[in-house]
Amino acid sequence: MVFRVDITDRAQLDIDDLARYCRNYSVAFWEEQEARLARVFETWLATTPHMWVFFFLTGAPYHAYLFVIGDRTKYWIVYTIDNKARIVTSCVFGTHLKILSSFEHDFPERWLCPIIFCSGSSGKCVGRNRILAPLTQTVLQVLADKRRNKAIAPCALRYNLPQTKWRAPWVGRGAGTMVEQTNGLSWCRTHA
Amino acid sequence: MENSQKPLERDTVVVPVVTLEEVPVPTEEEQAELVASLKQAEADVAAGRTKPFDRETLKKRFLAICNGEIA
Repeated sequence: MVFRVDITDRAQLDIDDLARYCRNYSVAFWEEQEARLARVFETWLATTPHMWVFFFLTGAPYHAYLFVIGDRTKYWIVYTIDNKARIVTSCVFGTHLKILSSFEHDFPERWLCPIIFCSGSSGKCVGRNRILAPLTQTVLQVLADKRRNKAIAPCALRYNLPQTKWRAPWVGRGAGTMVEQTNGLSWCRTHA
Repeated sequence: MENSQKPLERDTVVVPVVTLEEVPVPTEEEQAELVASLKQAEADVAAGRTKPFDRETLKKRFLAICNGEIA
């Protein structure tokens, strides 16, 4: 069943900022990004809004879709779902542009360091040095990277597989700490 | 000898795939900014300041801003 996608005034302002950002590039680039953005709203959010997990910074009820423009520019599309009314409301768009841009600039190569991954309400660690996508929407894992102060968050639609970028096992030892999040701003980090 | 290899071309389909992405941990100020943004968005919803998504409207406004027609 198709959801109706509503865009708040706040999100519209953020989308306008994205358009201003695109001014620096060619007309073909504008049109490409507009088409990609429209596809997100009218295809992904309108048909499969539950596909993307809760926003790792807030938890429920906010879901988030990572809109990737380039290696250095990414936008979070934060939205809520009204299952009864079949409405998806896009609340915020591109809140963390500046953060993500600086991050990608500093670290152009993506890789995942060894981490401790935990899941379930008991908080027991179920694996190490593994990539386990959170499949339940009630539990999110936010993992902190002690050395670089980075978190690893679930997103979607990235087809690149980072398994060739593993660090040496001893680099991240003890750095990862499970943070279980079900609601509210309860994320934390292990960086001292 | 006849080449018995199967052709490499296959039909493809685009499907959503949930993966993990490494992102920076926001500072407290950035968190506060995010919370403020979300509260503002919730206020928009409560006050009815939302508009249904329309492809043509989005395209028109987006490209107008890119062109500089809208500041």
